[in-house]
Amino acid sequence: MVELIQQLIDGLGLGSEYALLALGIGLTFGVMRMINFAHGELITVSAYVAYGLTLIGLDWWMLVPVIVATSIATSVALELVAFRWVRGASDFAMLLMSFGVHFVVQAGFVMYVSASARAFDRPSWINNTVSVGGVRVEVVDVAVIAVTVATLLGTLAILRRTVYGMAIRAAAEDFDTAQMLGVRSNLVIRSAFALAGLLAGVAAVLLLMRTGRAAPAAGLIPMLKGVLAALIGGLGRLQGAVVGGLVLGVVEVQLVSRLPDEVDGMVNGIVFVLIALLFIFRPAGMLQTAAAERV
Amino acid sequence: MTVLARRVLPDVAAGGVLFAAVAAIGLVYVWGAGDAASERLFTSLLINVTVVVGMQIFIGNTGILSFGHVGFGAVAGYAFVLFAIDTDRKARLVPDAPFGLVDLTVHPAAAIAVAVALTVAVAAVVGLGLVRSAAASGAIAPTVITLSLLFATFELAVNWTDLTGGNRAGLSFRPGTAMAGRGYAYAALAVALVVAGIYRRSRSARLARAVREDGVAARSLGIHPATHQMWALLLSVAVVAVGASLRVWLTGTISPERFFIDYTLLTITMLVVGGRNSITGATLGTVVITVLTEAARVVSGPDVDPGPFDVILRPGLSDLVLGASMLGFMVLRPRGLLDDWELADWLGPRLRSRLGLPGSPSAAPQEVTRAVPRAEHHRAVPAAVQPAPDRLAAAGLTVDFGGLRGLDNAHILAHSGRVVGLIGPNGAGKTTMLNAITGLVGAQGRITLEGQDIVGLAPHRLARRGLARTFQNLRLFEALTVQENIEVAALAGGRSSRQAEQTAAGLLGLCGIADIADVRARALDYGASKRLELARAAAQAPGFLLLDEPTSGFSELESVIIVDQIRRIADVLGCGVVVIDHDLAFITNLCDRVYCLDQGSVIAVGSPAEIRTHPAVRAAYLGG
Repeated sequence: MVELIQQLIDGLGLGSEYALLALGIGLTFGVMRMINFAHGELITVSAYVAYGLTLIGLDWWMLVPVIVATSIATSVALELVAFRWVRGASDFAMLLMSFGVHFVVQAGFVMYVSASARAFDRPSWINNTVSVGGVRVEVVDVAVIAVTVATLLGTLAILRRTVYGMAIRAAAEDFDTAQMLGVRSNLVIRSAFALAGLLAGVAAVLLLMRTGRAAPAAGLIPMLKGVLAALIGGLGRLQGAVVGGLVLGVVEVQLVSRLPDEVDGMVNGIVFVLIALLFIFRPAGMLQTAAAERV
Repeated sequence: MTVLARRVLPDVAAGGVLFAAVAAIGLVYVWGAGDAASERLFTSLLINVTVVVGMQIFIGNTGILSFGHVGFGAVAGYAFVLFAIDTDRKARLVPDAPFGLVDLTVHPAAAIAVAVALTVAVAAVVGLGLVRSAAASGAIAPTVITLSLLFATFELAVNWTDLTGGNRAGLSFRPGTAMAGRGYAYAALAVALVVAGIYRRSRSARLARAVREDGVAARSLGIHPATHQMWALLLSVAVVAVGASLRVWLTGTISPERFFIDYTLLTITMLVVGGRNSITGATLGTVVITVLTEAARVVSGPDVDPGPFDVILRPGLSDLVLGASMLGFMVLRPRGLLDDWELADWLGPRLRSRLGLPGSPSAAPQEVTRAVPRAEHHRAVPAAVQPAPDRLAAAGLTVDFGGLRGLDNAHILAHSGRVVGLIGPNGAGKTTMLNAITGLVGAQGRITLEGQDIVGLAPHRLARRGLARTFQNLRLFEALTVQENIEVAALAGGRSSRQAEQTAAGLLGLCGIADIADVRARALDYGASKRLELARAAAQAPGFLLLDEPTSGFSELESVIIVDQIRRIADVLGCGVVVIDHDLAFITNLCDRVYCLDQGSVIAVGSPAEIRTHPAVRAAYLGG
């Protein structure tokens, strides 16, 4: 029982990161109908910024706002220089566009920093644990869950209460109609990318505190998990993305603890296969049946 | 010459030309450079064209972007090497290999066959999820699934060290014999090009392309998307598996990294730069990207002094070139250099006239009766058991959209050889009724076709039972020509290629679009598009033809012409027609009987004359 609670907390901690990424992917999908395979680049760029700043001796507490700001700026910048050009294009073109952006950013880091990974200092308290009624809990997990809940509540408030948020939600429902009602597409799309950048920035902070590592492909696996979480929850459903992320995290931790040691390295692979199987039986995701196509 | 040989002649010839072109470019380069590195580059060009053409078979014909083909390549590559390397080497590299593999060695050519069989089996399982998710949510979910599978195969290769030797060691094939495989690489390329060409002309590939262009319209024609996507996947994976095996054979080594993200980026870029919808494009793209990346590799390599260009000429440049080419093409030319231009299509007419072969069969409009046989074989009702009248009937039809009731206890009755009109103000539920009858929206109530209950049947099954329809907002297969649009419908209805050509020839004349038979549907004006949609529906040889506003946007004169065409099609096919329209005058000219819908319910039924004067109809239309 104690072990189960521990694993649950672990899983929710991991799932929180996925949820933040999935929500960002869901937001940009909502306004552009594009799955952003370059969403992980926000983490990669953040990781290199963190690496650079720890080199000059900045403390983690000061890194946090810089990382989040970097992520937001990168997200908006990618929209400006790249995704803007494929608005309204075919799924095919948009998928490849974001895939290409991923590779260009990655090649940039290979060319101008290094092809190999760079490690940097993690916060000193990262491995601390506290004991709550016999359950040994890592401080970082508690921090991650708390930060995620706060971030998600903040995002909810933005989406519910602000004009931008309402415009994003309206656009996610029906972009054409929203535009006809006077919602400005540039503003909505950029707000969505900024918000996705913010969420990815928070996720990046949480992730980098654990890994302390910057590499040209650092964002690839987190991106893929985020995309899968968004798909599991049903694309275009923002709550679904969050639920999908949490489920993915919990399942992954369960797998790690239950599978024999020999296959430890294959947990991601097994998760991917499970998800592929899920789509055989629930082709439209876990929560949702596909909305009827308009004919 | 047999009919089949004549039919595939252009494809075989085009395959030969492309093969010769690739081989010539490579041989001239090797002769010019004259070193081992140029040999290696040529070898990889041969193999990459094979792999990319293999990917084109699936990605081009289905329009589903797959990142997983290189993952299938990894499966094939490991299967190949585990069967092909000699037992001594195996005992050293993977002493604990399962399934008794350590003591088993076959000739490399046989190992390729084993690899293909295994990989195709894996693809069959994976494909099931792929095509199901494609049906449910379009092209996005399958793409993500294939990307996941690429990672899954990678992790498996890294971690199943007993089998693969893991990440660092890798498995190496006997060096020194590598060039022995060159002949197989030539053969594989030639076969891949010809197979892709012949497949492209096949019935299944044409139906897959129809699905690619418009899934909803394709299902309404009776095409089951998953079937054809699955065939494309299996053939495509088989070709990729051959290419991947050769890649291991001729380069002499395999490690998980060799079949992962980098190779995926390379091959996908080759495909989309050249033009994913064309085999010629896939070949051209591979050559272009090979030249570009090789140039980037050389200028950024250690042998070139970068001088002031140090900023850009450094390792990693070839990846940047790849990524940037992909971005550039997605923005400026998303369908690639050649789009869907195909060498075989260009060669076909020239070859036929040179060899004095007949072109496509043609039929005069009056022959359409013979060319468009009634779809008797679609009717499942044994006449002796139940002398069912030729009729389509719906009763108690109710459709709910969330809280909104789209149809409320509506009914309709249509007979063969008669034209029934469906009128009503906007939002009355006319299109909803058509969608309910054709299975595109779920409905409660009773719908019978020739006495058999058809509620809940999938659109493609209804189409096969003889229901054909058009759409209010035009759903043509845009990248296909006018003639191909009609032929696909006939093929979907179970006709042979030859019958489909005859059907198309007849309907092109009947609908007055014969002069634009070779124009792509996306280039048509509105009127021609409408006529094509009518022709396409008629090509299904339906028992009932359901037309959603065939005259919307037409002038009065054009409306008169289309009324005439609808009547002639109905006469020729002997089918029943249900037609939706706003225009009372049009309905009066065309219909035998008219139903008027308002707010989801039938408010009046009668002859056109009765309907015009019906008080409820006047109230609904005039708000009086």
